[in-house]
Amino acid sequence: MFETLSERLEGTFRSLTGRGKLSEDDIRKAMVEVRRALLEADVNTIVAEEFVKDVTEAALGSKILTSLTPGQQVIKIVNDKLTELLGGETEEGEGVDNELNLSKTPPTVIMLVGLQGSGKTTTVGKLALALRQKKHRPLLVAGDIYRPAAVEQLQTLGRQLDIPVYSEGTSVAPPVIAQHAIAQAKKNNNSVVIVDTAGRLQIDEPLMEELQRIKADINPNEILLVVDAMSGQESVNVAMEFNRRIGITGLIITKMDGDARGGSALSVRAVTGVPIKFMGIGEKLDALETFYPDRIAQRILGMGDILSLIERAQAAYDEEEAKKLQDKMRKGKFDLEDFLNQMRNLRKMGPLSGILGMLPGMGKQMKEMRNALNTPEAEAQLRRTEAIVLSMTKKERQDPDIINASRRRRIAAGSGTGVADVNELLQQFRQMRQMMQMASKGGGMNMANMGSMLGQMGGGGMPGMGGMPGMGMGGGARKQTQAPRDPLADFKRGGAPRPAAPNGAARPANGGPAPVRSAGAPGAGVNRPPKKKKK
Amino acid sequence: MFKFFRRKKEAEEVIEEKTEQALEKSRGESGIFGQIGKLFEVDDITDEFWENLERLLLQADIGINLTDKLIENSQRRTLDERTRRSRDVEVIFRREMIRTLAEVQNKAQAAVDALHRKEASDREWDRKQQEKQQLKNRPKGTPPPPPAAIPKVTPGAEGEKRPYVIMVVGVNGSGKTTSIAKLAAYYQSGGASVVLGAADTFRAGAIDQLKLWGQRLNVPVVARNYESDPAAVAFDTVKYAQENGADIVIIDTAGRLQTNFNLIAEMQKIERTIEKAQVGAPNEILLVLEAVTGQNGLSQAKHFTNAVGIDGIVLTKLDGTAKGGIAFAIANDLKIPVKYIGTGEKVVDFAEFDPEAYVNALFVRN
Repeated sequence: MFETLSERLEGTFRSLTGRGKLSEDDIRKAMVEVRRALLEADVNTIVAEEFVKDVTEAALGSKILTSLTPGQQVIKIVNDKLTELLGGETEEGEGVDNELNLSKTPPTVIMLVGLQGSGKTTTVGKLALALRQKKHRPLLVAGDIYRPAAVEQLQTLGRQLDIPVYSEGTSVAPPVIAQHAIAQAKKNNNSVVIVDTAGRLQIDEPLMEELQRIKADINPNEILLVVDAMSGQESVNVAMEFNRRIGITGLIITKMDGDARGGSALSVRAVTGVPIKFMGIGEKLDALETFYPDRIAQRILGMGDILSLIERAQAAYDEEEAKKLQDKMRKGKFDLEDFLNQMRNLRKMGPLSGILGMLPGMGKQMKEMRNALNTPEAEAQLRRTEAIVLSMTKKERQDPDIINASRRRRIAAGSGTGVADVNELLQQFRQMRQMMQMASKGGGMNMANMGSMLGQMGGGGMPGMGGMPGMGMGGGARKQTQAPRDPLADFKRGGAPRPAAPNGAARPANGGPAPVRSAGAPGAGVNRPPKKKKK
Repeated sequence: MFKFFRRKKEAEEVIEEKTEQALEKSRGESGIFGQIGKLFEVDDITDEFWENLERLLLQADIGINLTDKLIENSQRRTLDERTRRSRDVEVIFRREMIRTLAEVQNKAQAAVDALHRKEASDREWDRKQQEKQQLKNRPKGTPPPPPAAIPKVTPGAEGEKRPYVIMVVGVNGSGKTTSIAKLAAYYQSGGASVVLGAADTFRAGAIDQLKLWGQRLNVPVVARNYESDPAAVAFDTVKYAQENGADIVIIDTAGRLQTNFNLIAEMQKIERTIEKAQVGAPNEILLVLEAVTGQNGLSQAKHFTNAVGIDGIVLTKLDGTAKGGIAFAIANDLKIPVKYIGTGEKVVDFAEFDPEAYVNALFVRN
């Protein structure tokens, strides 16, 4: 929806390469764009202004590292400052504060507060699950007696998780309920008590007083403010008022699985000085993540979330397996069995559209590709491909060359496709194997190529996921390996040779935004576009 | 006749009053829009004035693009009219803001009027066209014509009554279920019989929440179990309403983020299924958006409207200090009008949206 900051800065600085220092004028120009980007990410105006002032100071006269262009230098400074502001490692060497403060004498009491609809009750459930996984024995407290069926909602969550819920219906005052709950927790040896409270506006006097009473009565170890990632400028006022009235100790940012940039998280962190502890990243009860400042900084800047992607890749890939695979590819012995495994590995990382959302630099091609893959056709094509491969015998998968006309007919019938589909797959597979052999000589199979191939298998003629940094499978997933240039790519993707990367789009250091390899329009390659379902 | 006018006038007053009440709180020291009014209490309009205005508009979540546009337009007009008096500039600026909202609203109204004129000249032909258009060519991204003041659906071939079906969608926690209760009460107060459909079968407690509202309002709620198919619930609800001759059907749906492909597909299926239960339905799809939403509101409106075609927005939680400036940006960029505002937790905290009343209320000084 919005241009990313990096795209904008590349534009601003296109003419400024090769200079030794950033001039004041350069920085001023850049800061106009930085401010815009922050505002579009919902960073509070005052916070944004302060931030821009800080960055200007840091950037003035700073040397441009030889590996970076001026635009990237500014991005690096902005990124570092953002990370710091979000509670990342500071120059004094303080680490990230994202742990819960647990009481030495159980039970630890945690209270969740926030506006209506920010996600408190769901987060109570998620937090309980996370704590139980760390061998805690949580007790949930239904302290929202106002919203219809809020008590039932928490009870349902408790049943789903098999975690006890303390409730006294809707006619007892919440402070009393909370006190009784703690008494019960002590009796039943619950190590953590998590109190749900009703959503309230920060200007609602009676309800804010009620929170103060609950706090005085149960003396919680943590008071966590739940903030919706999609909220705008107002979140700062909300947080400051909650903090002033009851003193919050931590923040939970919810609904981070959407496309909100989360600038409000930054703003709230900045004005309250309270650490962000967790992020909600989905509707399922295990969708709660520990907060990492650097990731949100990149997201605010529109740089994608490479680290999460790498983590998912690591979870999905076995290094041992990857080495074997690499070996096979180099020798040209990559067979359909391996292909099937790879396809499944990629899909283990989640739906294609979700993976692409984590990629940096949503440039034009990337957007096109994301849109193309974000269709039921692309997913259906992948499933169809899987069905074809699964309809082959083991022998056929290991040695696809033995597949003759009669085998093809059988495979087509078995997978519910046509002989033409089987042919197409086999042809693509051969091309792919050839490509891999060449690519693997350049430095190991990496995700970039894999993605590109699956993209082609999936959607037909999709431009590759080129240039993803840090995704090399060969020597540990965190190591940077540059995607080897695929000699066939130009031909396959529509014939037009790629323009040389402009200076402004050179590869940055440290997992910064990768330039998207330019590629032909989707569907322009030799592969056929995905078939529309017949009606 | 006079009685009618009086009633209309009273209704207008109530809307204005409600809007004012809702915005009153934010007009204190901390409220943003109150400060906009104050800002104009200067003698001369200076560069500093425009900078301050920009900051206030941004803080209202109006967004940088529309803020730039509003200020540029106002500056140009100020130049055209050769004035530096703050009073004049206030009038100019106020008009700019109203226009941003009213353009969309008026266009929607004009479309309704055009339809009515046609209907009078060649009813049968028009009905067919209308049905066809509702079925197939519902323009994506542009809002289809809204219903007339009293929504009625043409009866079926056998003369059986058909309800006016409203589907309510939105992201998690935006206030869909509460808004539905308010909408039900609102139509009820106009003498309509309402049926609610509990098609949020996902969120824990959602069905109970709607049922509780149903009890309070004495409105039947059609529901199945949790985790059952929401489209089936929607279908049942429309069928139940047809059999019982209800006027209005309101379908609750689960909150979903606009970027979740599968859930958006589920929502599209609910829409298709409602259409199977009754040709041309749902007659209205409302997106519920909370006033505290930031720039992501644009993405929400865009994705939801691409998926099912949004007819209007219910702007909720206007009783806080946030004033829903993103609704201006949505009206400006996507041409989707705000239809209703929610101003509190009670069913009566609800009103039709009136751009002029809204903007004027923002400029009232304490």
